[in-house]
Amino acid sequence: MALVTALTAVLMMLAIGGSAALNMMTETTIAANHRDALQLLYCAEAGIDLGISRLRTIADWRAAAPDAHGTALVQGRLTDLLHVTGVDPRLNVDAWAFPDPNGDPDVLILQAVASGGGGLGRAVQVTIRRAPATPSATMRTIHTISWRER
Amino acid sequence: MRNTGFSIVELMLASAITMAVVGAILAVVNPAQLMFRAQGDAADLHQRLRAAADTMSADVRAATAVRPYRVGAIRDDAAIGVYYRNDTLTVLGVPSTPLSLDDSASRTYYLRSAAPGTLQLMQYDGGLSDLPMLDHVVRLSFDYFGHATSGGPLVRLDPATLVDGPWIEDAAHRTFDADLLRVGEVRASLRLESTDPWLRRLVPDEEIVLHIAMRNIPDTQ
Repeated sequence: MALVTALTAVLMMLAIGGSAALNMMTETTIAANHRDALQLLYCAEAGIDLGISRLRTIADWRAAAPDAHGTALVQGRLTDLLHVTGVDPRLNVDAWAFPDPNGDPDVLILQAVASGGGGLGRAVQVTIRRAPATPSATMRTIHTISWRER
Repeated sequence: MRNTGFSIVELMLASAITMAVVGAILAVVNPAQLMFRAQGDAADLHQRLRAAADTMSADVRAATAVRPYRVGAIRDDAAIGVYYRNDTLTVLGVPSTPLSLDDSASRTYYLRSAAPGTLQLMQYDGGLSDLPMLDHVVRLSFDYFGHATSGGPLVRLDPATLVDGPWIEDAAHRTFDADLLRVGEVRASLRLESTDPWLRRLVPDEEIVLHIAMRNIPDTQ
């Protein structure tokens, strides 16, 4: 009798322990996916910022994005693009520039897509406008007109 | 050989040993069951926090403006002269759904008393849809940060400054305090509790504090 009871109890404990372990693994996976999704959003924003920094050196934005197919501004692993360590090496970012649909030469649409491990991906699309050129201004200010995430 | 069976002493001893074993096993299994339930409840608590953080963060990031009160066709706070609530946030100029291309929707997050002693986080779309988003909320509060001077660091805006005017109108002819134009960051504090009162000893309340920068306000780089 005692043996049967003890065996039943051990089985129950095993079932409870196994389910708890499964729950814990699921929770860990959900938390990791959530963290990765956040990382990817910030990675995509970094891609936009890198794209803007490259556009600063380009005088003619029409040449930077000549057609609606877009032009790649930034492509590669974030850690290589930033030349820093400590960034998750799985993070990749592509940033593209598209011309303004209304034909404004000082407006561009930037789209950055970040991807990483686990098949996740996040995208950010930003419309930027450059201040008009003046003889006195050494650097033209860039304004963000709109910002969207996907 | 004569079979004499068990004596009363042997039977009592066997019963005592069995009871001791069963008692010890129950003493171990019962807390384990409780811990098992608590683990599921803690996972649910974390998931509710993540859902709230994701939804509110995405809305504040995309918003073109915020209001610290309810805005919409039903029970509009401004219509009754209320321009600040500590636990209410309206985001303006957000997409009506996450994947839609429009940016003219608004959403209000606020607390509503549900069952006695229980609060719900509600999401109101500015029209007819006013739905519960999360149950078992303990506390929700919002703080607003803006530049004290042009280009200066972000400072917390005193709630009094958000209701003292000067008053201006937005594109929809809704009056609001001009100091709200300075808001560039929102701090949201959300505290949730376990769904099961019996488990609150094992699953303590969890609180998150989000600092969310608004991406769609006029910006210079």
